[in-house]
Amino acid sequence: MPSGLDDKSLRLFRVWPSGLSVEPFQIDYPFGPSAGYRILTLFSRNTPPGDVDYKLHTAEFVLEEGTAGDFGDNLNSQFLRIEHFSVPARGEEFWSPGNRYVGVKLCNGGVPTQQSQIVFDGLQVYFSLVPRPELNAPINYCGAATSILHQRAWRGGAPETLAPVLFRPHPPEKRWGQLTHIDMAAFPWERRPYQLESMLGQPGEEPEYKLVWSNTGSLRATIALKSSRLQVRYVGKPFFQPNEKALTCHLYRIISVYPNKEFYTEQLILRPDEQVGAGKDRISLSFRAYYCSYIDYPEGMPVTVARLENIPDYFSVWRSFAEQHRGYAFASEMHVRDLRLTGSHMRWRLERGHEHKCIHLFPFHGYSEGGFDPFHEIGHAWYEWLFKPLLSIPANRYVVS
Amino acid sequence: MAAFYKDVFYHRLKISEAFLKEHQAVIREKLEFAAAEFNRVHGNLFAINMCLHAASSIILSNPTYLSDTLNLLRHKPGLEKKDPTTVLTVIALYCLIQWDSSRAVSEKATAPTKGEQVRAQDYQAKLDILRHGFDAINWVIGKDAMESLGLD
Repeated sequence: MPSGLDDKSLRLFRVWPSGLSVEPFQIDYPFGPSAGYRILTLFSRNTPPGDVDYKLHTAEFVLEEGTAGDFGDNLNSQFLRIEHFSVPARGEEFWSPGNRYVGVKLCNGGVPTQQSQIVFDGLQVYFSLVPRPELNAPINYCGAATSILHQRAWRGGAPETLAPVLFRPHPPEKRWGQLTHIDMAAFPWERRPYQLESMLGQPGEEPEYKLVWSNTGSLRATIALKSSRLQVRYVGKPFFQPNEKALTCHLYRIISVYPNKEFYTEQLILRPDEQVGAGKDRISLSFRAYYCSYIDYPEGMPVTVARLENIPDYFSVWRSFAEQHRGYAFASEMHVRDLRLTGSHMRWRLERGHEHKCIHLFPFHGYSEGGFDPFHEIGHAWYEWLFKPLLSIPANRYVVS
Repeated sequence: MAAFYKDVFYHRLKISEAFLKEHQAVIREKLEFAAAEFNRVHGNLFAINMCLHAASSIILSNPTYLSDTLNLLRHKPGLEKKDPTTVLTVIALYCLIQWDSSRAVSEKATAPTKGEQVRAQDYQAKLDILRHGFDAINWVIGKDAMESLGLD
């Protein structure tokens, strides 16, 4: 489809037996507006269940092409918002692609200004794009969610999910989902070790992320973070081309929130700058990602880890006290390995994959909310979003009428 | 002899008067807001959660004797089938309301202005709303457990 077509010049229809209905959609450019790569997001409501092997389609959509500015009536969701921080503590809704940002906040539940206002389910997640937002910051915060406000828990008195105990000063270590390393393995027939790259750098040489995409659409709020440059040695011989090449790559983290959902999704892609030959394809690189988090709880606080070794794609860590259960959960398409809990520290890594799709969930159950099951929510989210999600298959790639 | 719940809160868990005084503003803010929530339609669950969270935060901010105290409650006759973290949190909440209520009484007695006197009296009324709200649900833990703890 021509790269010039965007959400202002396209219209999406759902095909029903009785006719067509216009549906909201949005287009995102996760590698930046000029990279020529787009993701179209749509919501398929009332979709009949299909076969588990996807052999039959159950819903059909058609895109109509207009000229620039013909359409564009995709209203933004009232619940979604992105704030961009050029300096700490001063966020702006407007995003300028060339600007340097120190942080970005995603909100998906409306933002009450007083505790007495109606609260819709959702989160406010602040990501630090730089290692030291303040000069004297004792921790490297690069790429970490440094604050996660949970709107339902906030109504119950505990907004900060990463440090929910009142009367305890917030420790500087608190953060969630920070990528500390990635590693790339050589092909099985090569005699060289895997290449480990720190995403946090060394003291004095700490990298930061660049915000290359930010869009609050009708269906989700999406940002894309681009890491600093990584040099990867690729050896294709004797089976693949190029024989040997030093690739300049960037890790892209595409992070989205959806209206009123108490999770955010993340997709990790290691993308070389160079194209292969004259085509637009790039070498697809597999890698493992290492995560680290710190959730502040005192020693002695009961902890439950929900993890099935025969389905190692997800886990959740629950902190329960006085009939209030706070969960910290993660699911991925790849297997999650090496989950380690030491006090408030959590570490885990993903197995090798080319495009890691992940979900970070923060479930909360308060007093008298029955049916608490430490496995259910994360298992359900993993199944619905990662294991057996709705798949869209292009029927006709591009037809000019 | 002090009631069992007081012994647990002040002597087993060792919550000090100094700690409560240090955080008196936040404690009052939370209790006051929870009382307002009790009066709101469908707000009582938020109020209960807010009180439980404030009380459990008092406990978790003083965790040195937490596991010993939980063990004590686990083996206390009449409480064996109850979740000890919930029982301990209810004890903390009961003591907090009692503590802030007596603070409000002395504030009223020593208030230099009529306005401050009225404010202290209003706050006492709000604490009564909380008490009645929790009485209605037998303080989450049930009548038998309340008797075992010595709660009125």
